Amino acid sequence: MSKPVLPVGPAVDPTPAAHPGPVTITGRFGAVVRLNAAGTAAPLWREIGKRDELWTYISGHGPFADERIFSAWLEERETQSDPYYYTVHGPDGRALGLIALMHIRAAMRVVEIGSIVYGAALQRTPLGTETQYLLARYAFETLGYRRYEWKCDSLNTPSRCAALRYGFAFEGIFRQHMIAKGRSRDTAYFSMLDGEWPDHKRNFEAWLQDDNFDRYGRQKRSLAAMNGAAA
Amino acid sequence: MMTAFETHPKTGQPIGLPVDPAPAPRPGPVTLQGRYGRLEKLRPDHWSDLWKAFAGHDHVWTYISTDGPFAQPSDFSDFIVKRAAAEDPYAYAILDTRDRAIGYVTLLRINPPMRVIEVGHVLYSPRLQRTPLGTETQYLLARYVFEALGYRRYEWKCNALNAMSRRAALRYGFVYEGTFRQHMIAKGRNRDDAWYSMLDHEWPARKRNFERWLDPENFDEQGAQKVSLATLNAAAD
Repeated sequence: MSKPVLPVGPAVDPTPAAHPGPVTITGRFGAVVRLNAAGTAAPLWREIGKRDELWTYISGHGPFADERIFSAWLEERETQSDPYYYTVHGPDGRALGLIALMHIRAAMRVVEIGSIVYGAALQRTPLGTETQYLLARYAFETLGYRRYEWKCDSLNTPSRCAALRYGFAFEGIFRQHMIAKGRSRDTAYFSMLDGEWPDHKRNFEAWLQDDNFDRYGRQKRSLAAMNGAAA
Repeated sequence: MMTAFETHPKTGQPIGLPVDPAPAPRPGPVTLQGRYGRLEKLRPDHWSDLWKAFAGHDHVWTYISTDGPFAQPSDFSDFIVKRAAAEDPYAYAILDTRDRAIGYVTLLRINPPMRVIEVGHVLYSPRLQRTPLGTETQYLLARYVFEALGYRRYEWKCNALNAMSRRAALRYGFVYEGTFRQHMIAKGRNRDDAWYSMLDHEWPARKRNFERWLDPENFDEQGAQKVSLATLNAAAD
């Protein structure tokens, strides 16, 4: 009887990763905090809720007709364990954006970072980048994930550029992957692996250093260049 | 690859084209009759035929992420009972012209609102591998998924190390989309996943190629193919 020798992958620690928890992760430019809808609905409505263009590529959610509908939506997000939402806060404590760990597959040690809605006060800021650093560090170092995914509508150019800038590797496009808001959506997939995290962590930390910014707050070296992504 | 798009009427951002958002139905207990055999809903009583076809061929299970191989008939029988009852993966037995089950195949990760579905857990016994019925199985199931159920994306994925499955996907006309690194821990080992898809608008050309390949005219007196399906599908692009 034929018994072909088939290649198999290396053995890995199959201990499941931990589910994300209600933590506050403090950085130098702000903090990432477990979503508290009651405490953040009003500022988040002003920062992101009423800004229709921020919701175009968020499949299944938004835009919102008024603050009441947005607040109800936010309250419902707080009850969910997957996606597990966090808010991003500036140095004065004000909520500026929303982000989630989602599609949580603890047994496979795979998790995705997504539902990212950054208001104008967060876009293209050190805190926006630091948020990614803090959550990636939490996923890899505290929770024990080995694959950290990023996906987006393939037409969402800012999101695709952001993924590469943060150090995610492009893996491919799923054609006709979804029907989002009545339209065909191709999805671009990216990932970062546990074995890659030390390098990307070093780059995040070097970029976030005070000495990487001039006195006008302009970066000296770009994170995209450090990560080898097209700048 | 360029995605077709329109411009958002308010924000000016590029967005995808409108599609019919009516959900696709879930697969059902149909019998799909072919020329070389048929598919029917997997039942617990298929287990003994399948055991005869699979026993002693443990390597068939190497790349199935969670199941097999099975040492005891009773373990295998329990597994088939469970497999037959599951809604997702939804399993079909593959029967030859003598009514013997010699493999099974499932539809899984069934996503009716997105009209996306995957063909997987493809378990072909040595008696089914590299036969016209093995190929016809893929034809019958793809036709059911696109034409009867109305899905618009039909997925194939496999362990990136599974060279036979990767070749099969391309031969059937699936398009390679990428490899997810460290996508699973399968049987205690790292698994990278290779992803493939076939789309609703690609199906008519694939269908023609399947039908041309499966035509008895395509085989000589010894049963050898005249033109290969891989060649037909490469020519279709």
